[in-house]
Amino acid sequence: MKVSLIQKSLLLALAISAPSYASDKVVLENAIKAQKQQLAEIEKKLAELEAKQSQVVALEHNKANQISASKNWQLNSYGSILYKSEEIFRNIQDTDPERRARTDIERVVIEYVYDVNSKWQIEAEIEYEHGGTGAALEYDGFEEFGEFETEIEAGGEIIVEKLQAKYTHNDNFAIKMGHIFVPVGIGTDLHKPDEYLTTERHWSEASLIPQVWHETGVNFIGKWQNITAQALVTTGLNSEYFRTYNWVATGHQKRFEQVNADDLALTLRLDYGDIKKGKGVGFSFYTGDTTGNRNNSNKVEGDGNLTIFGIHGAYSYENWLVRGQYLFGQLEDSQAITNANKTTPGLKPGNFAQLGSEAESAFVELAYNSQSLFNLSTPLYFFTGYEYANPIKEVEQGNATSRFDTQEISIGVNYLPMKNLVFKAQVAEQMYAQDNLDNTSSFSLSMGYYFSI
Amino acid sequence: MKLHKSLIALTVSTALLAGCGSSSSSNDDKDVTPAPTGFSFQATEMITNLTNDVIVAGYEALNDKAEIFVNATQTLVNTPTAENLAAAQQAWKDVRVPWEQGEAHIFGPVDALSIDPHLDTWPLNTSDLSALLANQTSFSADEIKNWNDDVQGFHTMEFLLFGDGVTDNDKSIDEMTELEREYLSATAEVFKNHTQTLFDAWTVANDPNDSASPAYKDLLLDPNNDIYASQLGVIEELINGMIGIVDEVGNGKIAEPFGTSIETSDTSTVESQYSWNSLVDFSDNIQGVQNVYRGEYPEQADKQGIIDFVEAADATVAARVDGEIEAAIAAIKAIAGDNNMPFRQAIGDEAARERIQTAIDALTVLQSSLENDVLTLLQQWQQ
Repeated sequence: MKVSLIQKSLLLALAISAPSYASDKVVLENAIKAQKQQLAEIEKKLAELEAKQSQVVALEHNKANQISASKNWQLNSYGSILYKSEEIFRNIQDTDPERRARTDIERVVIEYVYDVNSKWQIEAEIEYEHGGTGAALEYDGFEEFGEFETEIEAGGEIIVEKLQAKYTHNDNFAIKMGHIFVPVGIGTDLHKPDEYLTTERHWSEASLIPQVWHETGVNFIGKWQNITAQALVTTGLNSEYFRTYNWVATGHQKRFEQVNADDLALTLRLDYGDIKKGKGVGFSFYTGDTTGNRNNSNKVEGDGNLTIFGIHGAYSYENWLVRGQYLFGQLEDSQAITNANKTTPGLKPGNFAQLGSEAESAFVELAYNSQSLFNLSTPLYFFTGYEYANPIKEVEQGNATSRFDTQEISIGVNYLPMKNLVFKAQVAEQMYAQDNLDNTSSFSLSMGYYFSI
Repeated sequence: MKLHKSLIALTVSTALLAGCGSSSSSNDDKDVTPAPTGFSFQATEMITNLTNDVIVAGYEALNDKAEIFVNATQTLVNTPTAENLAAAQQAWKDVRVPWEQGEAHIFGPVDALSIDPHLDTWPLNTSDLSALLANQTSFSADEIKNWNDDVQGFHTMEFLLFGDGVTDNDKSIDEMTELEREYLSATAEVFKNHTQTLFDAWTVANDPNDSASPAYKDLLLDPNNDIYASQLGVIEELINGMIGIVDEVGNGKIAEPFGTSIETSDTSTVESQYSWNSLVDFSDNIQGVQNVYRGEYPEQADKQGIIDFVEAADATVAARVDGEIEAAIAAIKAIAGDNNMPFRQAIGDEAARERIQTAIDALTVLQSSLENDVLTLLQQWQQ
């Protein structure tokens, strides 16, 4: 561009000066020749200058790359905030829900990653939930016949979700150890605000298992072409806090100051492709006993073995994305655990002690990125989702209550005005298996951020 | 329990500070003489009486009447007649009395062993109850005890015995199915097991899993243990028990369904709405407060109660609080009016709502006196 502008200017100058030499053709021709030579020289100099300039740019670029390559740490952060208007049932007998609205600073997470060398990496993730304060539950075995004590009221939580060391042996094999994520279900993979479409993470998964499940243990990871296989040995769950309405989810021992590790759990997972990138399928399997981790471990006869199977998948094509998951779980000795939870002093399960011997949940969602349709510079997703959960599908004896057998259909939008920010809106309808409950509706908005420096 | 302990510690240290305050300041100003604060009271007799003759006697009555009730339900199963149904209904009301009166001292095993939710969970899960009755062919106590608390206990039995309570409280024997009778009887059996556990925890061993653990009553009778550091802790527990139920009746049981107007009143949260026994429940709750305060049940000979402790400090306050308890009971009973209106109807009736407001006010006055004038005496008590 610069060259052609200069050329044009020179030719114009030539044209203007030409008439004064018109009478002498030879002189004019010579002058033109001389001008042409000058022009060629200028062009040559310009080309040299351009070459030099691009060399400088390339050098600067290389320098930046060298800095980036030498940076052996990363600081990541994400968080989300929610507004939700929904119909709430006041109690178990209430069939006439009341509309309530609420807001929640769902989480702010800070994650540090440090590459010690090419093989070893240390990573820690600290999460502030609901604005962040908290209470630890303490089991005092010397008080009366053992007491559960909460020191302060919980308003939120500050929790270390991850504290791991990772050893990468080669492209095919790595080990993570420490406090690590348990990869059952895809909620753990897709837990950042831009990784799920709904305004909140999938409630169907949270109705069954701990969401973004983290335990202390070791994770072996094998990779071969597009296949990733994982095996984990981690601390297991504690059946003292299993409850009717969310099955084993609250058995996550994060509520305790220290985690009982008498019963360990085995997790196996096999993935083909990459769920996060929107192309992959996988299978997860979890098994572990739960009785040994009870503080009052003499109240349950039987191991309280828990088994969970999950299949999940994601597929994207052009502007379309579809994702889904199905979880099925079985709990042995659910009757004995129910009975023990009802009669453990100080535990106060109140109602909701009865446990499902079987539980299941599922979701599927479909999204379309309309960015090109509306000629936008950033993504705009429209989505629709279906979720289902029944944490008390079967009981060992008697009838399983249908109160928690719930489905939801949602439609919504995700707009990313810039790379690090997502705004979401969603309307949804909830459907209940219990005959005397009418459908309810909800409307929610959320904002999420995420960045990495 | 930790909360209780820290409260006790706080109270004791406040009392100590109050006691020492004047002597430390006397170093600075020798003209100031210690103010004549504090009173003495020998609490052993009062604590012994309240523990044995009020609390334990109450749980014994509960357990005995539970047995009569179980028998009545079994008779009803064997011989389903109108008379036997009426007898079972009456037995339910009879066993309700010691339970509701006992809510004035709902600490110790009734709390620690979760006996309260097992016996008296409210509201009832009528959906699950209907599903069970529609899908099960028989019921046993062993099964029912494992189910959630909202399909067993007092109010499940009430629903089976009295019907839904919307238009009347006199379910006829023809309206009761054989399966309902079986459920009633099995639930009553579970209920009786819980009342037995509660009574045993107070009189035999407070930990049902450890026969060597002391009876809970002994922890009160002989303080200086893990639960009660001294008699002060016992008396504080007793006074706080009274405050707790006055608060619950005034601000919960009555005020919640009452709402701010007829439009916001809510019959679904009325306790004992099936049997229309709500007002009896509420007045029995405050009767329980009177039992602890006076130290004896109505019509019994005078024994030592909290009133004697208060009297040792201030006879005027002692008499005033006694009057406020009587007034609260009378105000609750007066809600029924001339035509014996049940509470679930009264919250929707303009004239009755005024009487309800009077009862709420009486309870507020009583609660304030117990908190400000009675509980605070612990700071002045010189043991």
